[in-house]
Amino acid sequence: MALKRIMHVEDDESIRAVAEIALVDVAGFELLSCDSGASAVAQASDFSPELILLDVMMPQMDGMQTLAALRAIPELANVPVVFMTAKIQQAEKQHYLDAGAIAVIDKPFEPMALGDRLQQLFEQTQMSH
Amino acid sequence: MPYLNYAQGWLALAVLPRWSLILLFSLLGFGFNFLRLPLLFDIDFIFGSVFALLALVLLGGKAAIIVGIFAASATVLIWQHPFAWLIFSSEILWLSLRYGKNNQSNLVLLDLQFWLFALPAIIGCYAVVLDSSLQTAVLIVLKQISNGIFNTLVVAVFVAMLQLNKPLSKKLALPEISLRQLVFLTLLSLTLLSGAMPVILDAKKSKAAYELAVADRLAEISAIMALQLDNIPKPSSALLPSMLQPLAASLPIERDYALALVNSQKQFTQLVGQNQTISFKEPISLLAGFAHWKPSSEPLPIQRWRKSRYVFTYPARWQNEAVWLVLEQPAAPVVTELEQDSAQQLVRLVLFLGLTIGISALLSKAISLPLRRIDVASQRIQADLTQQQKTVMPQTRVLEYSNLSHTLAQMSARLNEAFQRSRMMQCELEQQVTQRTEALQQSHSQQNAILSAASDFSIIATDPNGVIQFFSVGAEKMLGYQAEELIGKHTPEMLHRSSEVVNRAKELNAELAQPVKGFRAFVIKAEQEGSETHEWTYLHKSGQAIPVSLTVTVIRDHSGEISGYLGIARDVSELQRTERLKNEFIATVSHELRTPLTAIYASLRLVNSGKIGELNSKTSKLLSIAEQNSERLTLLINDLLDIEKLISGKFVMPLQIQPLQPLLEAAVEGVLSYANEYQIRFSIDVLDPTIQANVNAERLIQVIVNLLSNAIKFSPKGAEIKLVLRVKDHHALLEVTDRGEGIKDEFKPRIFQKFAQGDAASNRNKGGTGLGLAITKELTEKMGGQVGFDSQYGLGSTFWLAFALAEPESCLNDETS
Repeated sequence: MALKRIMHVEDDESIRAVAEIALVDVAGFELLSCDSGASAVAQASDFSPELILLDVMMPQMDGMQTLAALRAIPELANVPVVFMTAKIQQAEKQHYLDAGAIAVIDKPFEPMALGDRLQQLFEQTQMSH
Repeated sequence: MPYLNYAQGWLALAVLPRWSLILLFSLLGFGFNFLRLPLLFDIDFIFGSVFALLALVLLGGKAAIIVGIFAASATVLIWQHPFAWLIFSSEILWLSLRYGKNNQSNLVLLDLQFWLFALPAIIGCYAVVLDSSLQTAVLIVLKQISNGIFNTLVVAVFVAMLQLNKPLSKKLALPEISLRQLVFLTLLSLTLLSGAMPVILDAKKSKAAYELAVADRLAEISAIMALQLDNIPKPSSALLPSMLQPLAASLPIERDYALALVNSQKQFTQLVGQNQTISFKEPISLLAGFAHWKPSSEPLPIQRWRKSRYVFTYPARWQNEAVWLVLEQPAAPVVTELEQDSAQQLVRLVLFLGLTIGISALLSKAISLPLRRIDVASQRIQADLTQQQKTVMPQTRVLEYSNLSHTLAQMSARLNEAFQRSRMMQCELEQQVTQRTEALQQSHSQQNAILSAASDFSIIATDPNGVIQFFSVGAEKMLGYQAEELIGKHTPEMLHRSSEVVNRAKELNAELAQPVKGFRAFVIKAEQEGSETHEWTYLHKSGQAIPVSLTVTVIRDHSGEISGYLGIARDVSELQRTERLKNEFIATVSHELRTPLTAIYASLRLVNSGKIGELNSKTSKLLSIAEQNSERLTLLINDLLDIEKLISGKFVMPLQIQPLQPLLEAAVEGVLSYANEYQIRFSIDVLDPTIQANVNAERLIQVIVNLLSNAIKFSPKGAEIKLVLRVKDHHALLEVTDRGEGIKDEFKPRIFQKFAQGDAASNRNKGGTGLGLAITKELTEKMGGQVGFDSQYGLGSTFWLAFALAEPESCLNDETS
C-alpha cells in the first residue's frame, strides 16, 4: 500500500521547508507541516495522516509529549510515528523506539532518500499489521 | 613383700578415728609394759613407751601424753611405787614438748637430752625416797636410760621406714626424712646390734658359769661326805646326829651352808645349818643333781632371787641303805656377784650407747653437712644470678661431694654467663623496641597528618567484622558525625541509604551465587579483587544524601589474614552536576549545530540533485563544494561526540559473538557511494566465511568504515582497495590495503592521536576531522581487539584489525553433543 499523507512536526522553519521539497516535490507525498506539537495535535484529526514524522527537541511540547498527545486521539492511535533527531545516542534511540516510534532518523538526513525511506518504513508496518 | 603388707596394715590404721587410735595405743602400751625382755641379770626391758612415742609421731603431742601416762601406769603395778610412772610420764611430756620444735626431729637425741637433764633428780629420788643404796639407784636409772633410748630407737627406725615408703608417708602426712637422720639411725642401729649383743650374751654366760661353779663345789662336798659315810657304822636312830656331826664339821663347808641326810623313809637328819628346801611340810621330791630354789613367798623377783638357795642332792649308800645327802647354799653371794657384774655390764652398755649415739650423731652430721652446705649454696644460685655474682661452692675433701660441688659450680658459672647474655639481649631488644616504637609513633603521626589533610575524602577503617576503627577528619566533615560517636560502635552500613545496600546485596547475591547481607555488600568484591570502587549514596547526619564514589580496600596482616577494611569515599555530587551540565550542553550543541546543518545540507543536496532546476557548471561546482563541506561538518560533529563519549567511558557497547563477514559487507556498502565518487574499486577476499568474534556490530561497522574511508581518501582515482578477512594465530584478522602514498615515518607514532592528520601539510586536502583513527583505536580496544598498520611511504598502507577468534557454533555443538 502506497504512502500518501504525511504529517511533519518540526519547530525549525528551514528544515520544514527543505523537508517539504524533499517529500512533496521529490517524493510526491501529501504533506502537512506543523511548527509545534500543539499545532500538530490540533490539525491531525482533520488531516488524518498515514505516517507522522516527529522532531524530538521542540520548545513547549517536545517530541515525546507530542507523541503521547497524538496517541490520545483515537483515530491516530495506530498511525506509525518516525522520530527525527539530532541526538545520536544509542540509548536514547532505544528510548524512542520503546515509546512507540517505528524508527529514528538522524539529522542531517539525506533529502533525496527521505521519501523512499519513509515509504519503506510505512510498508513494513502495513506488512506487520 | 612383708614390709609392704605391714605398711598396708598401718595404712588401714590411719583411717581409724583419732580417739580409737589413742585408745588402741594406750592399751598396747599398757600391755607391752608387762612384756619383759631380760637383758642382763635382774635387768628386764619393757616396751610401753614405744606406743607413746608412736602416738607422738603419728597423732601428735597431746595424744602421746595421754598414751604415755596410761601406759606408764602399768609400772605402778609392777614395782608397787609411782616413781617409774612419774619418770616415764615426764619423759613423754618432755618429748612431746620438744619434738618437732626448732627442727628437732631426732627422737633418740631428744630422749638422751631428757635423761641427762633428769639423771640427778631420778638418782636422788630413788636413793632418798625408796631408801635404796646409791649403787642400786644408779643401776635403776641406767637401766631406765638404756630402756628408754632403746625404745626410742625402735620407734625412730620404724618411723624412718614409714617415711621412706611414699604412699604411706603421704597418707600419714609424714615429713621427708633427712639424710643426716637416716645415717644416724642406720649407724646407731648397726653399732648397737653388733656392740650390745656380745655384752648381753656375755652376761648370760657369766650367770651360767657362776652356777656351774656352785654346782661343782656342792657336788665335791657331797662326794667327800658320801665317801666318809661308808666308814661309819649305822647307828640306832637316836644317836645319828651326834655321830655324823663331827664328820660334817670336818667338811670344807662355809658358814651359810646346810646339809641334811634323808633316808629311804624320807626322814631327814639335819647335819649342818638349816636346810630350807626340805623344811616344808609337804614331802620333797628327791632328785639327784643341782637345783635352784626360790621362795614363793616373796612378791618381787629380785627378793626371791636374794632369798633363793642352790641345792645339790647326792644319792649315797650307808650300810646298804640308800640315803640322800641334801647340801644347800644360799644364792645371795652369787646374786651379789651377778649384780655387780650386771651393774658393770650395764654401765658399759650405757657408756657404749652414749658413745655410739655421740659418734653416730657426729658421723651423720659429718656425712650430711657438705651436702647441706652444697644445698644452701645451690639455693643461693638464683639470688646470685640476679645480682650477677659468682656462686661460691663449699670445698670438701670427699671425692663425691667435691665432684658434685664442682659440677654445681660449673653449672652456676654457665647459668651466670647465659643469664648475662640473655640480659644483654633483653637490653638490646628493649632498645630496639623503644626505637621501633618511636619510629612507629612518628609514622603514626605522619599518617594522621596525611589522613587529616585529606579533608575532601571520607576515610573510614573497620575491623574484619566491619566495626569502625578509624573515622577521618574528612569523614567527619562530609558526614557530620564525630569520630567518637562511631568508633567501636557502628559499621559503615549506618552511613548508607539502606535500600541501596539491600539492592546491592541482591545484585551481588545473584552475581556471586552466595548470600550477601549488610556490611558484606561493601567488601565482598574487594575481598575477591583486592579493591572495589562503587557508587553509593551516603547519608549526612542531618539526613541529606551525598552521592559518593567509594573505594574499598582489604587490609591484610603479614600472614595474609584479613585484618580490616579501608573505605575511601569521594563526594561526587559536584562531579555529577558537572557531568549533567556537560551532557545537557553536548545535547544542546549537538541539536543546535545539526538543525541548521540539516537545513543547509538537505537544501544543497536537493539543489545539486538537479531535480529542482538546471544549474550552470560554475554554480554547480560551488554548490558541490558547499555540500561536501556541510557533510564534513556533520562528520566532525559526530566524531566529536563519539570521542567525548569514549573518553568519558559512557559508551554503551554490548558485545555479541557473530560472524564478521556480514559486518565487513555492510561497511563496504556504507562507503560505496563515496568510493564511486573516486572510482575506487574493492577486492574482497574472505578466506573463511565462518570467522566469528565477540564484537558490537554497529561499532565494528563504524571502525571498518573509518578505515575504508581513509583508504578511499588517500588512494589515487581508479585505484583498487584490497580487503582480506582471515585467521591468524587464533585471531580474526581484517586487512585493508590501499595504494595511496603511505605514511611518513615521522608521522607513524602519532597516527592514532586525536587531530593528527598525515596530510596536514600536503597540498591535497582530503578533508576529515583528524579524529577517525583515534576513534577507531578506542572502539577496537573497547571491544577487546587491536588495530595497527604497516606502511611504506610511497607504496601505500595496510591497516589491520585483530579480534580473538570465537568458537564457531558448530564446534560448540560438537563438543556438547
